[in-house]
Amino acid sequence: MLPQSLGSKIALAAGALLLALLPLFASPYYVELGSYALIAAMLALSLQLLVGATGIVSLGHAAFYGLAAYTVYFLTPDGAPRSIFVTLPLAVLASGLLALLVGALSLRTRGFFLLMVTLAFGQMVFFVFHDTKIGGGTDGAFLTRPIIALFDWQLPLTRRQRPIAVYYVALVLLVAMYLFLVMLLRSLFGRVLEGIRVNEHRMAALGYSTYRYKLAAFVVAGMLAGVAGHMWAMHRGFVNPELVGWHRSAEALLMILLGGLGTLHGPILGALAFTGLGEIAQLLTERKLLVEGAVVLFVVLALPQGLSGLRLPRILTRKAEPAGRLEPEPHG
Amino acid sequence: MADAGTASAILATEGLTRRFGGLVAVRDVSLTLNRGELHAVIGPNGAGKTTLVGLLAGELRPSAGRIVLDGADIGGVPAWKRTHLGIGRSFQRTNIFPTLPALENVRLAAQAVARGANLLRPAASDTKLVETAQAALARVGLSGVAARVAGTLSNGEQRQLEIAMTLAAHPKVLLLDEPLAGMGPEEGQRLTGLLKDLVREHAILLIEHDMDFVFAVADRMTVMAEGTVLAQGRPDDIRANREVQDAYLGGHA
Ligand SMILES: Nc1ncnc2c1ncn2[C@@H]1O[C@H](COP(=O)(O)OP(=O)(O)OP(=O)(O)O)[C@@H](O)[C@H]1O
Ligand SMILES: [Mg+2]
Repeated sequence: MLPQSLGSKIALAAGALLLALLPLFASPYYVELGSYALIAAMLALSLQLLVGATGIVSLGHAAFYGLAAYTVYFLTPDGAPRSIFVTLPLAVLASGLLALLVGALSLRTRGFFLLMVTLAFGQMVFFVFHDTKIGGGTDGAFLTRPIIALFDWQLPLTRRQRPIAVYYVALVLLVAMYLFLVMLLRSLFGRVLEGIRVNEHRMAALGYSTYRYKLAAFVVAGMLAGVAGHMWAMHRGFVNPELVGWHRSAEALLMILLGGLGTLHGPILGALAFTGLGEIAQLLTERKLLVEGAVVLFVVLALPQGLSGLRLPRILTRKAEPAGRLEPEPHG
Repeated sequence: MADAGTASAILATEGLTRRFGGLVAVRDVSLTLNRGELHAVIGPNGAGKTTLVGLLAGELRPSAGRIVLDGADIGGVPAWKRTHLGIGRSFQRTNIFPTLPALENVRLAAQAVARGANLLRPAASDTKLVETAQAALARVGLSGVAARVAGTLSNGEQRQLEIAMTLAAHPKVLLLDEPLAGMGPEEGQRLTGLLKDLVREHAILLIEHDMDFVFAVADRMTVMAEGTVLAQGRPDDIRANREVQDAYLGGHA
């Protein structure tokens, strides 16, 4: 799950640096696309805490993502902009509370049933926003974007600078989320999640209340999805019910699959590749979804560990190691 | 340690019964486990031995009857909480974390009962848990393979790992479901020594098919067949019991 060799750590740092340099040479259009990819990466990464780390597959994860975006909408009813330092914590709190409710009820089930129960919960949230007027209904609604401000100070931004600032906020949050998850998975708590993924029954026999640990992971994952959803609101300035729909959850799962189930950087790779793929497919053909589907299918069949299973040549990495879930962490 | 004759019951069952549909896997079983005593349960395949362990460990709910630990009825306590009450079990069918290192398998067992551990602390920095795990591995003779991924260990080693995981939680009641099955003769001997050592501080319920082994280590025995208790007593009494001989021991005695 975690980067081990020096080579992989350098590769990750180089990737982050490359992303940080993108606004310096990309056109405004590609900066916006980049922001969108980073947000998708955050959503996929948050879901990886459940799927790859704990072995819980949820189809309702977008509910926490979308609710955070809607929270930003609710926080700016009068059109006066609010500081990100207010909107972000509140959005994350809202997502966390919903995750606590959904998780508490759905984690009583496992496997296929869990998939269906989380799907049902996600769709309930979808229909709340779709069928009622509280969030603008089917058409969605524009919102006032959060600003980067603290007390009396505000970061002054021109119209052209603003998307770039949003890009960097998203990048910083993504890197922070990644490092937070590295810390979490290395902790005693993370080891319990790993144990649950490998053999939940044995964990219960050893004395762990696996339900409580899974619920804690579910809430943390929901809150991290909230970070992503909040950034979406800040990026687009718009919310609609699609944000909470199961399509978005399934897309995040696809990104994880594309990038690799066994690593933390996999979902980030997957999200960037998936977004790029969508863009290329749109240029080449009208059947974007078909091309996307075919490529994901090909990658998953050809690379069982996803894109993160791709390795640099041996000479570059000093010591090539087998990747993926079977790889033992240096425990103890 | 209890003196002979004044052994104190830690765990007791009264009229314990478990049905699976129409099948009564365990029927009206009453037994006691005393500190400092190894209580062996024997019986042919399907006698209900594993089901009995499942009931004691909390994995299965009793259909009727009581389970009393230190004077309190624990029949409704979930499995994970029973570990914290001091009941540890090993599984008949090896039940480990095959993709994790042997040491981590045991460290997880130790962590489960560690009190006041800061869960957000890096696991690698918690040396106390690692030391506990290493000690448990040493006890079963697995120190040399601590770093190996558990799934790559030999069958016998995995059986020993199973025992080490149970020991790492420092239970006061040990429920061992056929620990010998799959072990080689050398490993078996080590286990005999270990059990004799352990029994001083623990109450042990041992399920085992190997009669030489059972008669060598047991202080008391319960013979089960088709869910019911056929006989209970000291090994010598069991050996002499005609009914048991006919039903189970065959020419052994
Ligand atoms: N979960 C279950 N559902 C239905 N029947 C079960 C279940 N578990 C056990 N049984 C049945 O209960 C009876 C007792 O099984 P159990 O595993 O306790 O026997 P055992 O004495 O441990 O046998 P062995 O020596 O083969 O391990 C068997 O007939 C078995 O088929
Ligand atoms: Mg059995």
